[in-house]
Amino acid sequence: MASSKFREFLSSLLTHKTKFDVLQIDFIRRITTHRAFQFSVIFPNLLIFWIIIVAGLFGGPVGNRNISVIFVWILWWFALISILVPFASRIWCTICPIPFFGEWIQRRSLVTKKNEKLYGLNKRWPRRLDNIWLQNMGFLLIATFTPLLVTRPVVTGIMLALLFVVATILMLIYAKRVFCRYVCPVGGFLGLFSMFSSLELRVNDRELCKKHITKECIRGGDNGYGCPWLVYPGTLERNNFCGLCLECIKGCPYNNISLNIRPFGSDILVKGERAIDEAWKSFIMFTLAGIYILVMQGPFIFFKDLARFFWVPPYGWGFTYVTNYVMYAGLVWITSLAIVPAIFFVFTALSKLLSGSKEISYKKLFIDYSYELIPLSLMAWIAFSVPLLLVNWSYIANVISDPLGWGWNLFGTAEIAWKPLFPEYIPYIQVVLLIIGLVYSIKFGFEISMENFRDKSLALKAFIPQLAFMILASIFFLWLFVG
Amino acid sequence: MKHKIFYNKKLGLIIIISLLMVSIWISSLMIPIYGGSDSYTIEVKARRFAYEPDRIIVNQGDRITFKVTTLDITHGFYIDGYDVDLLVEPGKESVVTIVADKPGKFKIRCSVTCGYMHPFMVGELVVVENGINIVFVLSILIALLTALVSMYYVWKRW
Repeated sequence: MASSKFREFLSSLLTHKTKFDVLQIDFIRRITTHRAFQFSVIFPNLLIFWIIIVAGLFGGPVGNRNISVIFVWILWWFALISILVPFASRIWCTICPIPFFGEWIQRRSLVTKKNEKLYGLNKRWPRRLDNIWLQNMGFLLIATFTPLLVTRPVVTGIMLALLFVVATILMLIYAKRVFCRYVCPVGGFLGLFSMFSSLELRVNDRELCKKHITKECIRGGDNGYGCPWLVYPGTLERNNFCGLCLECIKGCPYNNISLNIRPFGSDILVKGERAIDEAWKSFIMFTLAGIYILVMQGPFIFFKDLARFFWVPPYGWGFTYVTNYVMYAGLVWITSLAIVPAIFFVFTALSKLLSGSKEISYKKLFIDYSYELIPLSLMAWIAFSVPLLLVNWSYIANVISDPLGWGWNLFGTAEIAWKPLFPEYIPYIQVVLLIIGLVYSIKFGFEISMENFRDKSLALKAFIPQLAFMILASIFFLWLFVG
Repeated sequence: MKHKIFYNKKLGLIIIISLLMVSIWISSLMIPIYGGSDSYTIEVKARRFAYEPDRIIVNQGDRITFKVTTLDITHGFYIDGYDVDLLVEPGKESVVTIVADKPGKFKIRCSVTCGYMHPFMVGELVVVENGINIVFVLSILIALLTALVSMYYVWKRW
C-alpha cells in the first residue's frame, strides 16, 4: 500500500503533476501580501551591500581578507547557485537591492502603494533589445574579468557600485525594472537556471484572468503595482522573467496567483518562448562552468598564468601580460560563443540526419536541444561552487570579525586558521552532482526529441547524438573532478 | 512495442563491458606516472600562484618524499586528505614523506595567503593503481550506466 503510494508520488513527480501552493499556508500569504514585505527584505540587504562596497573600495587589498570578495564570490555565489536558484527560482531578485533607488524614485514611495504613474521619462525599452543578448554579453564581460573580480576587493566594489548607478539611471529613463529584465548580467543566468527551479509563480485559473477586465496584475491596483518586470501573470508559463517581487499576489482581487512547489525542470519543456538568445545563454553558462573549473580549480600552470593580469610569465615566450590576458579573454569569448555552439551544432545536425526528418529545421532543433543542457550546466556550476565554500569557509569567519582587512577582531573569529572541510570528499560530491545533472538532461533531452519527432523510434535515433554530446561533456567534467 | 535495445540481455552485457573498457581507456590517457621504485623523492617548486609540477601522478602504495621550495615568497603545501600542511619559506627546503595509500585525486593547496590569486593556487596529486585511476574509471562507469538506465526509464515512460 505504502509502496504503491510512493510509486504514485514518484510518477506524479515525473509527469509534472505534483504542485503545492505555499500561499495556502496562511502565515506565508499574510507576509507576502503585506506591502512592507519587499522593503523589509531588501533594506537589510542594502545595508550589507553598502558595507561590501565600502570594504571593496576602502578595505585591504587582499581578497581573502576582505568581506567584499569573500561575501560576494564565496558566500553569496554558493547560496545563489546551489540553494536559491534550484529551490526558489529568482528569489534573489526579491531581495536584491540594486534596483532599490531606481524603484524608489519611480514610485516615490518605499512601502505604500501610490499613484501607478511612475516618475521618470517612462520610455519604452527598444524592441530590438527585447531579448537577453545584453545580459549574455554583460555576463561574458564579467567572466573576462573574473580573475580580477574574485580576487581584488576594489574591482568588486567598483562593479557593485556601477550596477547601482546603471540600474538607477536606466530606471529614470525607462519604465519599470528594465535593468533587471534586460541588462543585469546576473539576471540572464538566473532566468535560464530558474527554469529548472522547484518554485514557480503562476495563476490558478487562466480563464478567470482572461475574463478579468481590470487586470491589476499588469495595470496596478489599490494594493499592488503593475508587474515591474513587464510580465503578464495570466499567461505566464516559465520562470525566466518573473522576479518574484510578488506585486501581482498583492494586487490580484481574486487571489488567483499561486506560488507553487513543483518538480524540478518543469519549464524546460515549455516550447512557446524558446529563442536563440536563450540557447546561447545555455552555451555560455555550460562553457564557463568548464573554463572556471579548469582555470581556477585546476592545477594547470598554463591556464593560471593566462588568467594573471598585471604579470609577465617566466617562460620567455615574448608575450606581455596584456597579450597573455587577451588570450584568456579569447578563451572565454571564443569558446563560449563559437566553439561549443559549433560542436553542439554538429551533434544536432547528426540528430537531424539520423532522424531523416526534412520538416524540422536545423535552427529549431539546435535551439530546442540547447535547453537540455540546463540541468547539466547548473549541476556543473554547483559542483564548482561546493569547494569554494568547503575549502574557504574559514575566510568567511575571518572577515565577519575583520570586514575591511584592517586587523580588527570584532567577534573573535579573525584568526581562525584556514582548514578546509572534508576536502578529500569534495570530488565525490562533485561527481554525484554532475550525474544528477546528466540524468535530468537526458530526461528533458529525450522529451524535447519526442516533442519534435512525435514517433518514439525516430526520437530515439535523433537523440543518440545528443546523448553522446552530453556523455562526452560529462566525461570532461569528471576528468576535471577526479581524473 | 518492446524495443530490442532495452530488452536484449546479451546486448546489455556487451554494452556494460564496452562501457567499462571505454572508462579504463579514457582514464589511462594520462601523463607519465612518477616512480619506478616504490620509494622516491619529488621536488616541487611553489610560486605565485602554481606548483611545478602542477600534476603529480603516483602509484598507490608508493612512499613519496616531497621536497618543496619556493621561487618567490612564502607559500603553503597542503594536501587534501593526507594530513600534510607545510610552510614553504624562501631559501629553505620543506620536506614531508607520505605513503600514497588512498586512490583518487587530491588537491594540493597553498595554506598561506600569498597574494590576490592565493585561493586558486592549486596543484594535484593523483594516486593510481597499476596505471589506472580507479576513482575516475568508476565515475565514468557510473555515469555511463546511469545514462543508460535513465534512457531506459525515459523510453519506458513514453
